[in-house]
Amino acid sequence: MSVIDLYTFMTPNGRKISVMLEEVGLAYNVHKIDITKDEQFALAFLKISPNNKIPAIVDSDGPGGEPISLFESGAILIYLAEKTAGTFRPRRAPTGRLSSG
Amino acid sequence: MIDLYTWPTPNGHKVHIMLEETGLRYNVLPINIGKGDQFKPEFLKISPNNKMPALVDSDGPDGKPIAVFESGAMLMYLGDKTGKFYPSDKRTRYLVLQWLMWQMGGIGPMLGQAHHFRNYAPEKLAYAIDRYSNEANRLYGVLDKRLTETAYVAGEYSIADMAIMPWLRYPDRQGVDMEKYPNVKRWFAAIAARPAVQRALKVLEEHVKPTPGFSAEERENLFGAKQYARR
Repeated sequence: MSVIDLYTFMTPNGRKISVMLEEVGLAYNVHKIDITKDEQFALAFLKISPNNKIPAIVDSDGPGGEPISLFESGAILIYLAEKTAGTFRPRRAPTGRLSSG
Repeated sequence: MIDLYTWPTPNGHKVHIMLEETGLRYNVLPINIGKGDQFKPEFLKISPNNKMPALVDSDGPDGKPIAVFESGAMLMYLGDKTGKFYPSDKRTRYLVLQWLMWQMGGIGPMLGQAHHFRNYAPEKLAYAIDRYSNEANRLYGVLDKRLTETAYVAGEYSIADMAIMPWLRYPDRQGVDMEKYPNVKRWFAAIAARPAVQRALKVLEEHVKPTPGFSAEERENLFGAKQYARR
């Protein structure tokens, strides 16, 4: 089972990701990056967020079953939408009868 | 056929580069932002933010026409349409996406503000000039570090590089000394040498104005109250 580590703070960009994670029901661990205490500049955080900004995630179950880290909230949202089979990203409308999925 | 609504700005050039690189045929429909073309109701229909670039592709998904606004979304659309410069391999694709979003959220808005407060603002506001020039330098530094690891931001040349490059043509106007960022300089030169990029940067070049040579009307359309009207 995948575990998502979310590196975040209480900002609009951070909330984007927690909203998505709650909506799709994925399990995640919250790691606080206190940007008022310069925690975004810590070397360990820079490795997953080369721009020194929150949010960022590490998913233990990325493409190919290997871990993946992502930065930039827009990219994280698209990643999570694709991971959860397009729950919040419209798929092409099915032809014929409506899908029950 | 693709109708491209554009002007010779960094965001316009991103899409010119992608269209030239992929060899798609396109019509250039000038949106003269100094004359206020971006505020016309017919343009608003395809670009709800009143900004260029935007495109209408007569052959969209399912063969029906589609309108796309926001240069980053347009690059993703064209990448998916052509299967070029936006890889389908998921790991590479997410790498491209992260750096594309970094451009859309950082390089574009911040360098744009640096440009504005250094070159166009009627007053010299030290706080704003310092804030955005410092941020511009920080962003060049992030890119420079990334380019110590890879030739292009996501490994291979991609839509992410095309999005960033047009914003880095005039670093001096952003308070940046390119000599401090040798990896960016190398990367920039490699992209600038591409024939498709050279063709792209010539699109509508006859309209490029020397900074900050705007008329009163252009100034009003670009920076005045008109842009803030609710439409």
